[in-house]
Amino acid sequence: MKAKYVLLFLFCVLALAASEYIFLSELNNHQRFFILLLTTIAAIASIVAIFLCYKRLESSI
Amino acid sequence: MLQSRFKYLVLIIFLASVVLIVFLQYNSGNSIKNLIQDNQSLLNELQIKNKLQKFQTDIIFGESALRDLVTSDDPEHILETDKDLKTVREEFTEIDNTIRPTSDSQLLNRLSFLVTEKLENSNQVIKILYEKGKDSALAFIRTLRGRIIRDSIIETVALINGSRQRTLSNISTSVNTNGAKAKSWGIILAIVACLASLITLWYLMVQGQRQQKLIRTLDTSEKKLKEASKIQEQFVANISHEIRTPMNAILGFAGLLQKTGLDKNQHEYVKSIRSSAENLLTIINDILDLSRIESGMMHIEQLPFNLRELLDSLATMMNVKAKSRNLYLVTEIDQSIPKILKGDAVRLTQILINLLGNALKFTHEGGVSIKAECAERKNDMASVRFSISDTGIGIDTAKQKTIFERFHQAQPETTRRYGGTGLGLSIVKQLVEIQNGTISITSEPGKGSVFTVVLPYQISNDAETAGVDPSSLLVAEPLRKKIKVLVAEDNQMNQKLLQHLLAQWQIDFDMVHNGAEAVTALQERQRDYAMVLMDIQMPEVDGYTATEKIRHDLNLEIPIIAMTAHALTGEREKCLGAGMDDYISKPLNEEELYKLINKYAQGNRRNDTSVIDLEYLKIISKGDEVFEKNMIRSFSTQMPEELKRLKSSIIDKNYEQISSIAHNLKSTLSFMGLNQLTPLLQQIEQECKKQDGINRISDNFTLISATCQLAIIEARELIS
Repeated sequence: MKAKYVLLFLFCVLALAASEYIFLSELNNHQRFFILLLTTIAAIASIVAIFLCYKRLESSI
Repeated sequence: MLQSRFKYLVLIIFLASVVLIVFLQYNSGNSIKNLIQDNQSLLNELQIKNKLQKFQTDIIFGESALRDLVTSDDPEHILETDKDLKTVREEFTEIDNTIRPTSDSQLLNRLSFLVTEKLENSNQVIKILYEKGKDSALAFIRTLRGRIIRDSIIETVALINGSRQRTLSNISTSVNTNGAKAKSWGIILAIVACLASLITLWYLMVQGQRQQKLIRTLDTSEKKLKEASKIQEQFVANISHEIRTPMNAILGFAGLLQKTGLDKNQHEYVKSIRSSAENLLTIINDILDLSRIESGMMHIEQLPFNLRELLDSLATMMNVKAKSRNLYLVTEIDQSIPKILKGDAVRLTQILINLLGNALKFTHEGGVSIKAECAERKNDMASVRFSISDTGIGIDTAKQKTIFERFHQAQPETTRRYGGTGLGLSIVKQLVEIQNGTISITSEPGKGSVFTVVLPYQISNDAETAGVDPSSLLVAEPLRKKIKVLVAEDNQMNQKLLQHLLAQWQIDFDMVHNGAEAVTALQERQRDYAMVLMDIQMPEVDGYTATEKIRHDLNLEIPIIAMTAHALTGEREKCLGAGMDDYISKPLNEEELYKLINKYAQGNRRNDTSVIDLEYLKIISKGDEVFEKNMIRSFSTQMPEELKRLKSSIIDKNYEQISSIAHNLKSTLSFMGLNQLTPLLQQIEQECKKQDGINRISDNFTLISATCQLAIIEARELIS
């Protein structure tokens, strides 16, 4: 149970970093709105998921 | 709250760091990428410059080669000139391909036009040379058209070169900018990484310090807890001692008082005193048991026992209570249960007594049944399921979950109506659980309840039962010979009680008030005493110290039985560790004390097993051996009959007949010197007068019968 949330937490951190990187690349190059929107949503979702995982981990410790 | 906020702050800092590092890394990577691209452009520009330089040179050389061809009129030079012209064309195509995508298209168009013109001019010169001759060719060259085209090409190449120089300068500037940017982002990234490391280090240090502090606090708390637990244990021990000491006197004297000639009212009062004292003692024992279990001091023995015998004894014991309440008690034992099991028979008895006691207490009509069956059998392990069902008041489904909790009873009025502390089932549950068993209940209000206990036991072989302590058997062997006991007891009430008990059993004794006196008495008259009954808590010298002196200073092996009101776990081990032979807790149980005295009295006189004392018979026979033999023969033939009659009278509760037989037996037994049985017979007579106390009569009969059986065997041996 605990390991599951740790893995999910790490995956979300990775997703946040990746979505931000893609967002910046897109912003500096083609600036396609759809991709910018998608990466923004992904980053926000990752942050929310990180908070939820952190909360679960806190309660399970 | 603050701690929770701090935890989320740490997460926010972590996420901000991640975002910042990705941002910095992206920018740093971008700058480096630009720097690499600029370097590549720089190299391209240098290559273009070289190509333009070479192109310019080749144009000039081509012009010169054409002049040489015309002047020399040598056909061999034609091929060389053709090759030069081809090279110029190729070089231009290459330059055009390289430069055109970027810039300078106008200049390139112009250059392309000039190169085409130049090549056409050159071809025209060669054509005139071969068609019209050398002079015509020289005349065409002198028109200077070729030179003008060449100069225009050089001028255009110079212009392109200038344009490339500006591009080169721009690229150089971009390289510098991107390099500086990459350096800056790198520095920022390093600073952020250092800051993140510092913050992490600070956080870890703070957490470490906090943990250390917490560990220290926990250590201190644990020490305090241990001290408190010790104090609590001591307190419980003291309270137990303080309660048990007067309880000993109350129960003992109530017992003695019951045996005296009392009228009906007085007898009822004494009975109430005894019953209340016993109830109080049960509560104290429950609390002590709970305290032992919760402190992990309850030890589970692993000894072989016969489950069928245990259940039979239990049924016999509980049957009295069931009959007194007009209830039936049925025992059913599955034949598949192994005969001998290995486990804690005492705790099992405690569990079953508690459950059966409860079942009988809460049942008004019908009865109680106990069923034992083998739930599972694997290798040398057997799980035994005990189902105790009753037709009693039952328990609500909602209350079933809480009845195993401490101080919980099914209904609030249960305590008022039925009494009890609500500890019984809690103790049972914990006793079951420490034996790795389970307990469950199914009940319906008004219809009854079924308590199911499943306990795992090791299957034992029959041979192991040989190791069972004979003193644990229900029937005690009779005291075979007069002995003298040294009693060390400081409490006056207990002294009086012991005096009465020992006198009742016709055991001679000396009473001392502390350990020092006991040691002195043994030092002076060690041969007189068969054993010592030693109180533990005494003034001047306590029981432990006295025992140590007896064992080490006097070097005596005399049996010492500890008597203490401390009934806590470990007390027995403490007594045995101090060199004592056995232990009995206060309030003293008459039967238990008698068994212990008997056990050690027999152990001390292994060579003297005679029960019959013919001293009195010899006095009255005045040496007539025939008379003596006749008397002994009559005893050996009559006694079994008398015992049989007495037994059937007890079963029928025929008090008149019991009293008559007991009275006759007194004189019969006195001839054989079995005077130690006289008090038991007198007691039977007294109980018969009251038309009550069938249990006591039955107990006394068991003792009398056992002694008489031995006496009969001895008598027969004497005759033969």
